[in-house]
Amino acid sequence: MRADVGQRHTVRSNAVGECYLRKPDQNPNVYDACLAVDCGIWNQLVGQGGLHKLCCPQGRQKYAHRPWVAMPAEGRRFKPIGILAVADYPLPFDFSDAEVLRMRVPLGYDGVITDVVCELSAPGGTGFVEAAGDIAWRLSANGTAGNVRRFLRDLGNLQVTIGSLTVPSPVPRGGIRIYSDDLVIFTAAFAVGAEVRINPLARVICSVTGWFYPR
Amino acid sequence: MMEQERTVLDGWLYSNSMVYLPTTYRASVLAQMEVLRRARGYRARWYVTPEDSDEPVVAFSQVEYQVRVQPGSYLWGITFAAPFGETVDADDEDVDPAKFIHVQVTDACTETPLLSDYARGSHFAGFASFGSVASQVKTSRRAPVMIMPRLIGDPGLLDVEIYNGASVDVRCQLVLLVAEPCVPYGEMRDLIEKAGMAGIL
Repeated sequence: MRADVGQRHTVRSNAVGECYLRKPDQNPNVYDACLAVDCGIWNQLVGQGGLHKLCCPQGRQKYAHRPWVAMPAEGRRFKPIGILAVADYPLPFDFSDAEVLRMRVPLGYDGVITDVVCELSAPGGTGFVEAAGDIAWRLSANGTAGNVRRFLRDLGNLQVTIGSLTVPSPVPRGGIRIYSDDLVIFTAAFAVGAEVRINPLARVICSVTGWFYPR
Repeated sequence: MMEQERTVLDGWLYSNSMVYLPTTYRASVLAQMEVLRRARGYRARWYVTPEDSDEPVVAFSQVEYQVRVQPGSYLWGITFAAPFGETVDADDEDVDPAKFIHVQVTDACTETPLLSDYARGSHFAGFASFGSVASQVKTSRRAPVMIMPRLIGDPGLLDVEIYNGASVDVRCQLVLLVAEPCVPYGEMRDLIEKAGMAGIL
């Protein structure tokens, strides 16, 4: 036992007063009534459409539908395209993430990504075999590198090409929401030894499609 | 009435290592929990996600869970542990894996997220005061209490998302600390009315 800690702090007493163990009982007190009022107000709020329908910045119309499901009139579409030449990736390949596309969500806006594109293009063959593990595409938000990146749902380790610029692929399970000031980054990582298989004239192409809306 | 105004004696006040000053975070948030702590009709319930501590979050991937709580419950705290004796960076064993984890909790009823954006797990985890992170010598924990308890309405569903940004699988657990009503809302109203407090409602 530590000398600087009194015995009453280190020995568990079995002489527990009744007031110490506050077991739930069927005799509500005034604080239960207070919480019941809180619960009743909350149920009314939800019944009227929830906080989204009640609390809006001054001057902004309430959204008729969820803005991440249907683009509202105030929405702004985006479709940036990023390109990375395989020749620009440092040799030998080391599976580090190279940035292909960077997009920051405007302050005061949230958004939703509905479609993504990650593909490889080259004169002749690219040398890339789907799911062979030579390239991993990663789409992330909340950070640039290291442990601060958060990879978006199901898009953190793509080893196949997805969609094309003419026919983008919808993201799995509906849109992916992004939030104000998020830094959305699409990267590609080339596996160790892949330089002998990937055409050095190839280009990595990435794109995201969706819209922003005032939050 | 005197009985109701006595000092609340519960686990929050027992600490050999913390001086209970009114200026600390804990004292401030406990003040927000005063009504909840004094209420009789609530009991503590902790929900763990993932329930199986052996289930890893795959590298660069995520897991999503839906936790069903009793409608009318209050979510008052979050705490997090990650990982269990793992190292995510072979070159630096002091890299805390909790930093690679992002979490979000959303009230499925109102689709209102608890946090304005995904938060790193290290915000809710313990931290090492000595020794390396990998050796798991974590002697301190961040206060798990939220600034204000959050009411979870009907149907009492919480969506929990845990993202792993590390290049290795990570095993972790998020614990949701909930105060659960002992009886459903309607029944509680009846009890309150029987107790002669209908005027408050």
